[in-house]
Amino acid sequence: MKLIKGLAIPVLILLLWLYVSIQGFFNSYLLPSPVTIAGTMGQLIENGLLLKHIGISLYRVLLGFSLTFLLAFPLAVLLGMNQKWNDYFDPVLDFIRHVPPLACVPLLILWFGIGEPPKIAIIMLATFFPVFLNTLNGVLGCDKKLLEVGQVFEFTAVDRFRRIILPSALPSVILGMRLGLGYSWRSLIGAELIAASSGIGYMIIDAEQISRPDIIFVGILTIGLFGYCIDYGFLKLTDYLMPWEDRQVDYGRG
Amino acid sequence: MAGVEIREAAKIYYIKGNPVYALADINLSIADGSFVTVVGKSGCGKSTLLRLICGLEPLTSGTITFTADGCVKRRSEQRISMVFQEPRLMPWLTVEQNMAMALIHEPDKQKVKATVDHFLSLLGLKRFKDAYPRQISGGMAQRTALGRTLCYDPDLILMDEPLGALDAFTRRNLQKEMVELFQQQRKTIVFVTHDVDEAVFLGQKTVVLDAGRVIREVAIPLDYPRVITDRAFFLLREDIMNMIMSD
Repeated sequence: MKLIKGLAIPVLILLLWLYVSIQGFFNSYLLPSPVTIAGTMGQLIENGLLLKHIGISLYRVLLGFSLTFLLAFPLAVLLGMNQKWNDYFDPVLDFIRHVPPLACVPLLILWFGIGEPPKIAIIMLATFFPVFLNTLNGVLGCDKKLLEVGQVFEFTAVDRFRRIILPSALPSVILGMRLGLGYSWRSLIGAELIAASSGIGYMIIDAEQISRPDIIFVGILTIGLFGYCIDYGFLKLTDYLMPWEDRQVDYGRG
Repeated sequence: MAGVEIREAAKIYYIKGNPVYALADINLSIADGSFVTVVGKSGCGKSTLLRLICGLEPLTSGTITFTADGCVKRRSEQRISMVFQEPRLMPWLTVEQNMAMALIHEPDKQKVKATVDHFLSLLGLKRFKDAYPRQISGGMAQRTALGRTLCYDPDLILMDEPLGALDAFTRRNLQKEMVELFQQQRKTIVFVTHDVDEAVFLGQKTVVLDAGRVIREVAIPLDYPRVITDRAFFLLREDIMNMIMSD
């Protein structure tokens, strides 16, 4: 039932779009019909171009995201558990947080050229804060009353982290990861639009240059679809990791 | 088992730089293996007293020492456990896992399982062992918290109004269970409550606190299980009630 409700609006839009295309209300160059786009998508899948571009973009996102997670997660945990260090890190982190990653693209190209490193760097800049701040909030938000229980039973610092702080921060950590993945995906497409020779963003900008709006549409749809799938995977992961939550934690989704 | 000796203990909180005495001039002996109840109005320092004994908060002045088998012991040599007003169960652990967490330092998993099983049966929680805290009632949750403390096998059990949030029926039942547990296990128990009935029903001695000071220590020379309709029970209760109300 939920699936049917969720599909209602997309199907409606598709039908409307089909109708508008058949009636010829808009120039078919500006708004290609869904049939054309489906055909183009078929072709792009058949000649392997779409998969190649998606593969490269996905690889960049996963690599950038994993590297960021390895950096942001421990740092947030350390700062959360040792709040005396906060005074040192707070101003620096707050400064960096306010700089949009795309503003650094020219500098990164200057430093690293247009190969892989600047794209990974962009993703890391975009992903760091959602992961870091949400993990930090999760650690800081741990119920002091539960920590006292750990104190009564003589938990070591490691036990305190593993048995109390981590499970209690888990919803926040996963929220951070979900937001972070969304951000890395967006910033990567931005970076690929500006300077790249492969990836979904490149496919879109290349299509503009060769006047193929249908390919642009294929690119946009693919990005949305992949974002949706990744997020769905995360929701399932939440269910699996947190069976004590009644339903999946609906972080502002519903 | 362990007794507690409190000498000249005081706890001062500072609110906007002004000292507020939570507890002052506390001198109290809690005998090894005794059941002591502490009663008083809200804000009289009952909970603070327990937190000081447990070591969750430092004393401002004075000393708290522990005695076992006639010797003086440090806090670190004591197994002290506390049951809080709220169950404070870990939401991500089942009833069984919550109880087992008290035995985190026990390497023998077989022994952990046996201990947890024992107290699950004793407290009537067997059927709920795989439930998460949000799935059980307040009474069950508080029982789990009590079970967790018993698994820890403490020398001294501190209870901070553990039955305060429960309905009258569950409460009466748990009070009876508490007495039975005390008679079986003979642990030293310090039990804080604002309910005079409860204090007289449970304790061998009741300490009456008011405004951060001990105003009386009343021996309760009645045999367990006590009957709250007994004349002796009634008189003791009225006596204590008057002490608290007359202030």
